[in-house]
Amino acid sequence: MRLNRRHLLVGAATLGTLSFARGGFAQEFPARPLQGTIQWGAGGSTDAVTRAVAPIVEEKLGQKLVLTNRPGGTGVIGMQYVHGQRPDGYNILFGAENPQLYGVLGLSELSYKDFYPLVLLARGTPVLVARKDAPWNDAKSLIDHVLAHPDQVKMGATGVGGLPFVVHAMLSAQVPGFKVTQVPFDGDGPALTALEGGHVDFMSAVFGAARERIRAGRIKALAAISTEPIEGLEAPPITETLPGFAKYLPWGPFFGAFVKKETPAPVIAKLERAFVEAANDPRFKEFCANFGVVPMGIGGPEAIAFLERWQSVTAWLLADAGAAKVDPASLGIKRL
Amino acid sequence: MTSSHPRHPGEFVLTLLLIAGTLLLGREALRISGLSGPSSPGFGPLAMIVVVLVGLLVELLRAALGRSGEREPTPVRLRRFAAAVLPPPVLGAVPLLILYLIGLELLGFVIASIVFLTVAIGLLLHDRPPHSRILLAVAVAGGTVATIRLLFQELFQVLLP
Amino acid sequence: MDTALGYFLTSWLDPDLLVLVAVGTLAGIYIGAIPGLSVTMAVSILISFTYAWDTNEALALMVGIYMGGVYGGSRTAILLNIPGAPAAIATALDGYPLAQRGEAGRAIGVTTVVSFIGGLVGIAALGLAAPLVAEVSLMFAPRDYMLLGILGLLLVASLSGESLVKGVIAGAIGILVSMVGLDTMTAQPRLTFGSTALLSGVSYVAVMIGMFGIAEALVQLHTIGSPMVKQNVDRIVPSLATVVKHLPLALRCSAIGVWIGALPGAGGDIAALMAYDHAKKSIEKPSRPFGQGAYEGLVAPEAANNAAVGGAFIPMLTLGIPGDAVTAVIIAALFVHGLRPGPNLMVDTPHLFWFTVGNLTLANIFMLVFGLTGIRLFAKIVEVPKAILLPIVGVLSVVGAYAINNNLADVWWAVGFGILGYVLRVYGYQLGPVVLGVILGPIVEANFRRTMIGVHESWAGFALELVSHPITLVLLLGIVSSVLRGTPFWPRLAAKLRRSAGRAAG
Repeated sequence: MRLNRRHLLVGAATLGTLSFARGGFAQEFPARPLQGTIQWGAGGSTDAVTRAVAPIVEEKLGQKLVLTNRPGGTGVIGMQYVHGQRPDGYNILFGAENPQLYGVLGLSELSYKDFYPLVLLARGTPVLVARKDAPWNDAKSLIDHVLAHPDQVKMGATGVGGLPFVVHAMLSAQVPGFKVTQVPFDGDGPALTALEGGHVDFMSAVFGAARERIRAGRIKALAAISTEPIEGLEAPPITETLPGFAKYLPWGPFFGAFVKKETPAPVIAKLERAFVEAANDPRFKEFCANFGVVPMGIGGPEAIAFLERWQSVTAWLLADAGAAKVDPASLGIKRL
Repeated sequence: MTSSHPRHPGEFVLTLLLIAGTLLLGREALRISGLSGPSSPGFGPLAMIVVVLVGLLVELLRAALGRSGEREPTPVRLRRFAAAVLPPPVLGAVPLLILYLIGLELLGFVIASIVFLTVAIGLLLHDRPPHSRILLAVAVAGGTVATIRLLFQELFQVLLP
Repeated sequence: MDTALGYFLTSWLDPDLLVLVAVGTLAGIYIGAIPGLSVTMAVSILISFTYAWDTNEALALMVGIYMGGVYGGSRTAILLNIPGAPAAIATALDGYPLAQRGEAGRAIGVTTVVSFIGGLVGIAALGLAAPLVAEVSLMFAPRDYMLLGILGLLLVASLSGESLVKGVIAGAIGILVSMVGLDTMTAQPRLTFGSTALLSGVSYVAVMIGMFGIAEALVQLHTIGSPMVKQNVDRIVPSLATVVKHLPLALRCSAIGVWIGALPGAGGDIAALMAYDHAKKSIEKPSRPFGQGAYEGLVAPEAANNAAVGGAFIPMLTLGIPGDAVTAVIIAALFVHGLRPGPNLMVDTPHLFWFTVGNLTLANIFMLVFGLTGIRLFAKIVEVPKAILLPIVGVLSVVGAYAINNNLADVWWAVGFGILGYVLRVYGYQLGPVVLGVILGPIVEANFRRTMIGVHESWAGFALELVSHPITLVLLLGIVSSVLRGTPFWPRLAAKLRRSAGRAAG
């Protein structure tokens, strides 16, 4: 601790010097610091999760991991950057769920198919929340109200393809006639703030972002978008009200670390081991519990299966809601 | 709102160019699908393009009225234009900047910046004796690049191109 | 109260923490001063860097960087006309002309002192009225943010220079630039000409660096041969009389800063612009005309942006809602350190509030000390021959633009906007309105659209929205009066009002 602090500036200075040392033929990967590219900007959830796991990964690999945010275009910019680098394992992409929708939204040809998942770090569970003085206390009364007053209820959203949008698509698929006015904000933070201020009536948000506000009674939780109750939340799972939801679940945003698919197998193996170990480290799990996300800690085939299932569920929900610009079938995404 | 402000050489042509650019932008704005209502994504861009166009037309009119006075011979007007808009240092600096950017992509930050600084300073210091100005240019270039590199890459861990 | 005082003094009494705040403030001043290096980025890097540290130590460092960084942006704005951070844009408007007159030293001195005053007001508001201010800030609906943005855009009128029409054109161009890219609401590309590189839009810091730094360097090339201005560095620390003279304005602008800083959707950059506008409207006899080196034009934005720091902490510490980008990163840092920022933060970790207030106060004092030392040296930068200074400004602009997102495309944008900005300036278009449009455009547009969606696209419903809440009404009246003041009838109307008021009183 004390050492750490004294090394504040010295450490920062040596850090950079290390990056000069380009090992020619790396006998022992990693011979030089790794470059981590975060698809999202500083202060976002992807940024926080990445920066929480990075020090543990550094420990496991015995090498520095220099993180850089390359935000923009729903993460397309960062993904393209890493995709443009040599597949030597030194460039690692830290991303969220969005690339799995680039295809159907017509944003980019890339998806996680072009990458290998070293680890899926964590995933979030959405919860359905309402402003504190709303006349509903559960999902059923909200649905009844919306059915009786179509288009009158304002839902906080984060744009096409965002979490509230997808959960809304699930709701409309399960409840014919579920029509609300979606007011899009710049992210779940601003949308939740608007909900707290009473400027929208309800929305869905990842549990971690809403938890403290629910606990303080500033907004109220109606249901968890899951099949099981979630720890620390009184509201019941949505499947109690709408059993049909089960086929979409578990669903929610997730965070992971990826390298280009063409990376040599021994390098991938070494990275995967370090990342999975770091993601299963008690310190990272503690962070997850605190941040309100579910630790995943899976890599390789297990992660690929999760990614494909997630993509299929979401892409077809968007297509059925009329929000897909490209037909999922034409991209080879099977309907589950 | 009166046309009392000074008229700039070449303003008429510039305004025409700006109008052309805005029209091009307008065509792109029309391609944004969904002009169904004021909250649709195309509404804002189109509204702003209309504002710019109206403004530019007013300026065009003003420039045209100003032009209709006495007409000087072309060489004089060109010389005045060059003095006001493109004096030699600017004429040299713009291509140099663009070359610098291309150099950044090809050669990396350190080499490109040293070359850019040396050439730019060397050219701008034209009233000094040649040997001292080259020496000075190289020294400043090296010093600046070293400082920036130290500050950004070493201290703040910011990558350089 | 004793415990509160104890928490407040934590960092004052612990030498380790004291040093961390000091180091943070000093580093912040330089991070803020260098365009492209942002406080947001620096604090974000610190999350990993301070991973194994104690929460208090990490926070002490971050708070120092934040306070120092907001102030530091003014340095390069005054000396080189490149605002080190968006919050210093308004500072450049009168700060740079002052440096051109040989008063860079005095300008930095005044800036430092009013930044300190602004910082104190922000801290006081945080310490004394946080819960109240936070609740009021939550009442701001999308329509109110829209009106706030419009109020700011009206500043175009006073930044237009030779022609109002040109000012409006410039402002609209800025708004158009802000619309380029993927529309966040509908995921539709706008004005991208089919290019993927344009999907993420044009970074407004790149526009700012180009329009101020590069365009200014090109304009300066016109007078490359003229001798440099000798800087007067005799009286750097402003006299008490000067401070007292500007104190009322500084306090009013600090109030603006606190208020806008506390709004979750607006930060120091907007606060500074609004304060500049306020100064222009309320000061009848500035020390010089605004835009030509008026000290009032320096006092207003600098008091406001530092007051916005305390303001931004208000919703963060009371409700867990970030007041701006930096506090958003600090919230993430608290999570990493095992805390749960939210409405219960003050219940769960009661020490955190006064500890932060104490750190801010300390950082504010360090800012004053560090800010006032070394000014002579900095002022000399302006005395460097242009032949050497201008190419360096070019390189700094390029590095700064690259550092925003580590993307060469941003550098091309900065240079492109630099050249465009140069041409526009030569033809009498001011660049202030362009940058104003880039910053405020998204606030106005997005919130206009939100409001319209909320009333189902009906203009009548929209009009009704505008008179539906006291806050909205106040903002609307502000806009109306601001527009009226700009029209020729205002003096007559005001005279008539005064006369009738006089009659009523008599």
